[in-house]
Amino acid sequence: MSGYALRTAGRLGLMAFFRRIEVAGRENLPSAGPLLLVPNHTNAFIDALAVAAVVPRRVILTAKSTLFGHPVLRPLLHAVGAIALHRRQDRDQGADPAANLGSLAECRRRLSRGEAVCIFPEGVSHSDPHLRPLRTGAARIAIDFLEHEKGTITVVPVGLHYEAKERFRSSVWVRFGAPIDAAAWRAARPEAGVRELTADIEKSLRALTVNFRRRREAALLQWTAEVLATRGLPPALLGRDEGAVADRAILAALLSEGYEKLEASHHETIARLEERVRRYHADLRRLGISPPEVYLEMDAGRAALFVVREVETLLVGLPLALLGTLLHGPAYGIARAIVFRVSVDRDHWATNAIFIGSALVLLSSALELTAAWIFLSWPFALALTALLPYSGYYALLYRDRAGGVLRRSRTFLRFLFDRGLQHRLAEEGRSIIAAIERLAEAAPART
Amino acid sequence: MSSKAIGWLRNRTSLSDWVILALLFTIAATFTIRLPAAPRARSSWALHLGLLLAFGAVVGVMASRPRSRWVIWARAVATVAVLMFLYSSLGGPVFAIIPWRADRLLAGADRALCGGHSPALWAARHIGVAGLEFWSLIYGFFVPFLYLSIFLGCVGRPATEREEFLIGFSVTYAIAYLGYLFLPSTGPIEFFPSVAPPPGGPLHRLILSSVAATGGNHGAFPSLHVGASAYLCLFDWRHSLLRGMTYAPVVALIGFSTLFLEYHYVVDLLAGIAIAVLANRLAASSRPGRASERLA
Repeated sequence: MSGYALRTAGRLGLMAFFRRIEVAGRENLPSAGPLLLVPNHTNAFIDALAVAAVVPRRVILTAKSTLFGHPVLRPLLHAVGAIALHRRQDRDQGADPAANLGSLAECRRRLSRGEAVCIFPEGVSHSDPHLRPLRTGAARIAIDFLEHEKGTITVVPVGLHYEAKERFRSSVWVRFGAPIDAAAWRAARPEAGVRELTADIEKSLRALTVNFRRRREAALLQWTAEVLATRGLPPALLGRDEGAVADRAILAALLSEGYEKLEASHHETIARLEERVRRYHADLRRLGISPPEVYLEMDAGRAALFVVREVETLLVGLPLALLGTLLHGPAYGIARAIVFRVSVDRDHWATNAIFIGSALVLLSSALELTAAWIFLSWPFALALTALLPYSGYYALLYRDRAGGVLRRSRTFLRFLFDRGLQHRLAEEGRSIIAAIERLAEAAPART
Repeated sequence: MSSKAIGWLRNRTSLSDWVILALLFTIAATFTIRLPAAPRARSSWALHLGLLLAFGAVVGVMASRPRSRWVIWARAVATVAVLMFLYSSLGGPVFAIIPWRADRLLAGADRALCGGHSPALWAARHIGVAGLEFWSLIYGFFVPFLYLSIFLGCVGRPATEREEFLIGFSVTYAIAYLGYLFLPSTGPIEFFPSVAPPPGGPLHRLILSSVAATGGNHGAFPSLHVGASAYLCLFDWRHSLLRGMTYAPVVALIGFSTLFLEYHYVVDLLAGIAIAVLANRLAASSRPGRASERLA
């Protein structure tokens, strides 16, 4: 399988699993020449897929050596030309750290051909709320390249931020950081070595990722970021520029930073604010209202426009959505049941869902098309062939939109019959935002 | 014109205004030049000249009050009204002032595209009364789709998006009307008398009467049924993927319906799609960029 095919397949799988994939900083990627991509690692194989899907050139992946022993993954990893890395902690599973010299040489060979190599410097996929200390592998590859080859190598840190990594139809943000020109870096610090370069990569990567000290703090601050991202303004039209995942991630990162700075000096204020946010969250959750919908405009004209726009689209699209559900529903249902059984932790849920789901959808599609070309006349078989993938993706979008329409309509009706409720929730939301802004003014400026 | 004047005009007018003014000027000029040879078209000439002056006056008033709230609505209403009006006002009279017909050329292009076969003759052999009714339903669906999309394109959107919509919409119609003007054609339904389907069920009769009411068979090249619906679909594809995907199969069906009802040649549909793609790109290029690009 070529890099292009991997990218296409990865992109299709990701588009089915994630509702929204945002990319920022693509201009930081050189279009040619040796490139080392160093992402954080929190979502198993999905991280590799996400990077390969959005980088506009072939990406050579690195993977722990034990994966090459897996009967299903082995042929796939060989097909994409992945490079095996032997970790010390995998010795009991047959890993041989001495073999990493060969892996290093293979990386150098690929890079010298101007290819892009991706390595996860944390060394393991995890669910920690913060970046783990980086291992020196990425820096070793870069410095080994400089020592053996002419020219330079560009190191680009990649921040991967998942809104809820195990949730089907959630969002992901891929963010490419400022490139590090390894030759220029070394020329500026001739004495520096692998550890120093690792420290610099870690610093860049930390700035690109959202880091919290504790899991409990992560949940609270991410929720607070959602409240803050509303800015106390009415929600966007459904299916359009709803609050971007990037906005919420940036806000969550700023909140985390501020929380750390102010926790000691403003302990009581923060504790009170935390309590209010928790109560607000619980109230909205109980009512089934999302934070932006608190500010829904209760205007007859806008409501009529909403009804026209949404009812028209949902009615006209219903036959196509039903076709997509009929054609892909069984494969989706079986895949879901299998993923529930085989996924032992949050890290592997999305990976299993995409791999098992893709395999089953391909299998069921092949069966359906075979039946169509045997039993239907050619125009209908041809139409079904074209509509099969289209209707599948359409059914997913339709499901998202229909859910959004139902939720927003329910919220509108609830507020219509209880105007005081919206007033109270909106007041509290704006008051929380104002309190956070006051606290932010008290925080020492960012350096 | 000085750069200061250009800047002044850019701030106070929209590209869609200039597209429509250029179109109306071209129409009025063509009628003026051809009038001595076709004195019967005098009333049409006066009508289009009046339309040019009236639209120019509206643009002038809008430019003099750029901050007034009514300007955005006036622009939308004036743009849509002029473009819709031209559909009926231009079609029939064009045959009086332009001495040639493009049907032979278009039918020849179709045969060249389809390996020597005529899609119109093929379609005539493969359609019955039920088929006529089905394709009439699809053909007729274009009208509510068009007007609802225009409404949703203009109402309830940020001003920049509304302007973007109007730019693409006016470009689509303006290029199509240039085709109507310089390549007048009636479509296979009149060019091949043998392919004209006899009136079928109620839906087909409704389509035939509505075509007669809007000036009869005219403006085959390019297909505005396909051009306009494809543009609306592409615009939605960028702003509301679900709506864009909802209507993409409908656009394909509308294209087939124009072939089966013998209103268009295949080359008309291809030209319609090309115009829609161009208009959509122009409209998209008028939009400010984004810091974070969205893949899905």
